[in-house]
Amino acid sequence: MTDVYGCVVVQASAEVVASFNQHRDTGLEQLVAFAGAEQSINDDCDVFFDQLEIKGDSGLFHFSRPYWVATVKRLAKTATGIGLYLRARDEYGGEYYFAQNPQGERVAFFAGGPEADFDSEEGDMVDDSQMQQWLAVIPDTIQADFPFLITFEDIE
Amino acid sequence: MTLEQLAPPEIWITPDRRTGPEVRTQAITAFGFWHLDDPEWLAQRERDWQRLAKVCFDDTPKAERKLYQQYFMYGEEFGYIDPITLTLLTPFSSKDEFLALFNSPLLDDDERARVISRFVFSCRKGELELPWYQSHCDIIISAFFSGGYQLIKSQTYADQVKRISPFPYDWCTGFLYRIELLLEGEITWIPVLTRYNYFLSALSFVTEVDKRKRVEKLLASTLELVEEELALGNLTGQALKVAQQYIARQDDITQAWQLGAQRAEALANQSSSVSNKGVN
Repeated sequence: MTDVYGCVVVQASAEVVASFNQHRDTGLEQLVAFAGAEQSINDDCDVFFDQLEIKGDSGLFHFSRPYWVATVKRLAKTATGIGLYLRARDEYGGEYYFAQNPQGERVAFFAGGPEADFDSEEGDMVDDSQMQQWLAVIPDTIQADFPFLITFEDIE
Repeated sequence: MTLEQLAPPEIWITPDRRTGPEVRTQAITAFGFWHLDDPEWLAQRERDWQRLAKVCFDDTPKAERKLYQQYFMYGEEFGYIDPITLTLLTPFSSKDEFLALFNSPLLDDDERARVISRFVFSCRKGELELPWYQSHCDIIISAFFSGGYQLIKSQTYADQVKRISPFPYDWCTGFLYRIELLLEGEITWIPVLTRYNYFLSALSFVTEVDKRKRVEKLLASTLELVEEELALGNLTGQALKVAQQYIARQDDITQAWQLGAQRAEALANQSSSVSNKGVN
């Protein structure tokens, strides 16, 4: 399995986000119930995380295993009224961006990274317009509360 | 203990070398370890699974956990399960049943060696929370490591031999190192330390000069540590038992060590006699 690391902000309710601290699977169960998403997500999906930072009704999860990406995609198909904002990078330089806000607006794209296009030195990279589209779906409050999601660098 | 033979005795295993998914399924069915028509057995197995999943597989992705659960509960193998986990999940309850698994097409020779190494020489903290774990290990260790030291080997092809168990030197250093871990509180129980006589027998087969020097040092440092820890009086459980045994059996250790010296000398004489013949 490809190594993937990144972060995801889940916007739901303070209770739901806090329940991930009991156990990751408890958190997922609460999130699925809160969002009215398909129950089988609980049986099939994993939400391993290294660190969770909670602010209000949202939480930023840092992860270093690939499972969140698939879980977010599955949740997005049937969940309503929650926000899911993810960016992930794989070991080959590929980057995946996903954002879906509680209003249901969604944007997702993958850029293969420098190794994806051998004819171009820059490769298939994320460009500014894609970033703007992604940011446009993420509420300002989320961007302000979780700057790591945007910068992907630790804030001192 | 007598000199009898210079090299350690060997035991050859003759595993079923067939491969393929059908062969594996047939082997699992032939074991007869899963009592699927017994509701009580199934209910207990379910309880055991809940405990096992929490203790050993909490950090395992759900898809993999399902694979393990299916095998643990019903003996159904829907994907690759590594040999250590497979052994952990198989409900053998006697030495013969374990040997049926060990020699089955479910494992290859490298995996057999790994199973021995893992279940004899290590034990993770969480595993001791499983009520059946120690008896599982006892069965594995009793299958090969009762009586005197013997080297387990497997003839893979006409000219290829695979060693399945550790050499005497590795067994002895492994044993002594684990006494250290136990006394220092790094572990609380370890299967290999239940086999004192086997250790003594292995010790009498350490014959190479450089390895004898290393083991000699380790024997002395272990004795020092044991004496220190016993004097502190904080040891309990297997640690206390192992420490007391180490002191009580010093004469046996000395005797085994001297036997090893005799074997080493006899081997050296044998080798010089062969080389002299070569010169003449």
